[in-house]
Amino acid sequence: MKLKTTLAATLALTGAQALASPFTNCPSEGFLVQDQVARLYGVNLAGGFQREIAPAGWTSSKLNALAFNSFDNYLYAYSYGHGDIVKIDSNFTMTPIGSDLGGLSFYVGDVSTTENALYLYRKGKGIYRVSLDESDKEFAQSKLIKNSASFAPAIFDLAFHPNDGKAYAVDRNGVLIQIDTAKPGNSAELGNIGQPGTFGAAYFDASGYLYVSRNNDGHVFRIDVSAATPTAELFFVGPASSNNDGARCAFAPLSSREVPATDFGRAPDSYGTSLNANGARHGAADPQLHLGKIVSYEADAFLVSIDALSDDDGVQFLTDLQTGNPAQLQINASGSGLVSAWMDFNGNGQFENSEVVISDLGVTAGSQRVAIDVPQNSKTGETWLRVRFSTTPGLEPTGGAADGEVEDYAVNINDGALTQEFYPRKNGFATLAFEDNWPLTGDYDMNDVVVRYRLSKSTAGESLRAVTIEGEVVAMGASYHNGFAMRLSGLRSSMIDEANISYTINGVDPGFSPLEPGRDDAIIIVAEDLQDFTTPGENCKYYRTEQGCGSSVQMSFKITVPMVNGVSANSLGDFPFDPFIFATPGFERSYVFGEAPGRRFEVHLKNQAPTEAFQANFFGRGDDASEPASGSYFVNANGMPWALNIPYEWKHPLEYMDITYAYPEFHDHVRSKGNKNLDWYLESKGRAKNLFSN
Amino acid sequence: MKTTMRLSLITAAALLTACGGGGGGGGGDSAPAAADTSATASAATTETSAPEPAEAQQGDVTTAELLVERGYTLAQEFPLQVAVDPSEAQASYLSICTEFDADATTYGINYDSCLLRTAVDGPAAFELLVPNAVSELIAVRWPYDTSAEPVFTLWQRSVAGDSFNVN
Repeated sequence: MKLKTTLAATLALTGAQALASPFTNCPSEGFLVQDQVARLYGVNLAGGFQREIAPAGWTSSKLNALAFNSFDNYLYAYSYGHGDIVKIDSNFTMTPIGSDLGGLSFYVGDVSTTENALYLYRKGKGIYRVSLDESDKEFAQSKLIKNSASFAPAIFDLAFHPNDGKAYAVDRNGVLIQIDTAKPGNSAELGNIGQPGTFGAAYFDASGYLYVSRNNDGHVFRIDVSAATPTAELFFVGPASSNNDGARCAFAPLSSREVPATDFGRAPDSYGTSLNANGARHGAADPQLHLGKIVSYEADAFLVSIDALSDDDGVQFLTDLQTGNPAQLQINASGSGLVSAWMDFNGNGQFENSEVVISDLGVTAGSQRVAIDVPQNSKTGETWLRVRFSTTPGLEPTGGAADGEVEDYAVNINDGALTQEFYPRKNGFATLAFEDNWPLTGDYDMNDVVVRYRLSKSTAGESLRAVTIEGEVVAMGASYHNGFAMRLSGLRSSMIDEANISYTINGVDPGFSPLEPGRDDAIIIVAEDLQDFTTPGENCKYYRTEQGCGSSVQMSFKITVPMVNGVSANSLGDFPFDPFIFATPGFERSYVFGEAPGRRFEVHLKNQAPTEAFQANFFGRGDDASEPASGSYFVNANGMPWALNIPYEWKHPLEYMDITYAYPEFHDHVRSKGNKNLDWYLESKGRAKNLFSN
Repeated sequence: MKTTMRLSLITAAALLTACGGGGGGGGGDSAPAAADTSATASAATTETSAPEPAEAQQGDVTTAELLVERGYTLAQEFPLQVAVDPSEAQASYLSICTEFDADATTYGINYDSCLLRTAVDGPAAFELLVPNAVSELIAVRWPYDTSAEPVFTLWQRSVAGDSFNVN
């Protein structure tokens, strides 16, 4: 709550006017920056968990070489957006320092523990020193202190030791390297820690332990750098990321490691969810007493930890929620206790006493069917339901209880009877896999653009009300810049209630409409350049297609497209509508185009006609053998397309791996025209070692 | 029919494994694996293109050489005609879903797996797009009158083909 107030105040001022304030003096929490659009996390090394601390939308830039400066208690990082080192204050405002680095970018760096200077390293260039002392006449000036002829290890972050003042890093082979920045000639290899990898984040604690986080699997290892044979000890497992950099005040001791023993909800904190907000929380007095099959314990709400499995599994919605109508829930409990629940009917972001829907309902082990009333004057749209189960009577929507569980659900209230159809199912993903080398034959690893998505359409009687498109970009084994779009087949752009479209990428409203302007067809541009949101990260060519290049998914999107009144439900084509990729305007493609083709280039599913933006005479170029006159589109001479749609959370092949070696039944399935090997795409049918996994 | 039942069990098992994460899969694959691991890893860090996987020398066609019927779109779903005809007129809420289990007395349904959710108070018809690998579905109608019992109807592709009559 406190944090939110501070942020609102900061946003009200323009960046330069905002009152810059440093972080707490030597915080014990570490800092971690990830992803193409930077997300900043606070990391509790002792507890093995992290929480996002900068608000969504705080920056559109990618950051790396993150460093905590114990001389002024600010964070510093290299910002790709600014092309400069930026100083980050505790309100998450970024100020470029005006360095003379020119176009040189860095992903390795830390601030010294003995002098107010940032050290940056880039393979092929060397180590640079940049003074951060504003009273120094050399402030913000870079100086090459060790060139690449004498120093060229493959390292991805470094950290300064709190006591000896030297920098340490682990290279991709697992070799621990010590760098004496005072005497740059004296770097030394201290031995192999026994774990290779891309260690994108490094931290020290006050005892001189080095912590390094491996990008592809999130494993955090602890190393005693003073040991005769320094070895890696697995400390905890955090989220994976291909672009990763860590920073911490090296003088802060690690607090003692506590085993979390409290269950928290997940509704926004305005509902009272975190410890700070006296959130609804349940202790582990009886771990066998919970809703559904599982309960998980956390140190606080909104933390990311190894236990990422959702424990919200105790409530099923037997009906939908309609204003003025009774609704039914099925509540599953593991034993005897009392259930209470609240729903935010007025949509004000709080559970009020009048919004109680179940009050101390006695339940026994098993499922119970419960009716609740949805008031006529409820606000329609998305809201939250909180369900609590405990032996303690009289629980309120916030506050603690010794046993049981709290589960929060995002729900939708409708203003009438809706028919909802889902593809591939209500909560699950289908997968689109594109080869983007069209009209030239690609390598058929089917991972140039991989999008997981789901669709729904809601109708009221004969009227189409809305379409939702939700998904995530899970791989990009491509150098080309691609956009991703969905034509709502059969619909005209004039049928869309554009003013009421809801559009978010990674939870942030980009601030413009995704409905493509100037088209007759209703075309939803999910993103014009997927590379704006994804990065291969350190030591990788592509995003999530190569071995050892695992990462959390960096781009998710959700778009709800409402219709104007009177659009017939029959206007809209069948699932999966018409998804396609297009060339990002301004970026060159292959030689067959001569100039950047931009929106005139599209790749659709087989035999799906292109949109009005497509340049018709592209057909027939290269290996394309489309015959538009006979309805044959985006196929080669053999009839093979450049795109597949699979109604399953498909694991895509590794880079350069022809799909037939990843899924051996695929060819027989295709030869049988889909009559044999119907489940060729299941993970159990794939060759695990030829499939990408984190 | 036996085959179909087995397929559906495999589907369910795969979905469950997928939730747990981790690279368990690929079981039972005794074919020689491609010499891909090192090849791919080195291709990732150098500019050269990867060598062909070992299987390519075994006379298989590559996907670029695969002959595909022009009119076959590779769609992995089929349309299912759903006809709802309740035996008694009763306002209820219908869900048609892919994941469920049964015990002696009732069915447990994962409503996150639904393809359709709608209120019905009489005969109705729908067309659903069902993944080819789905061989069983369950329909449940929960009467708005909580004293009335839910009505379950099962569909098996091997028995009912491309139509589903819901009670």
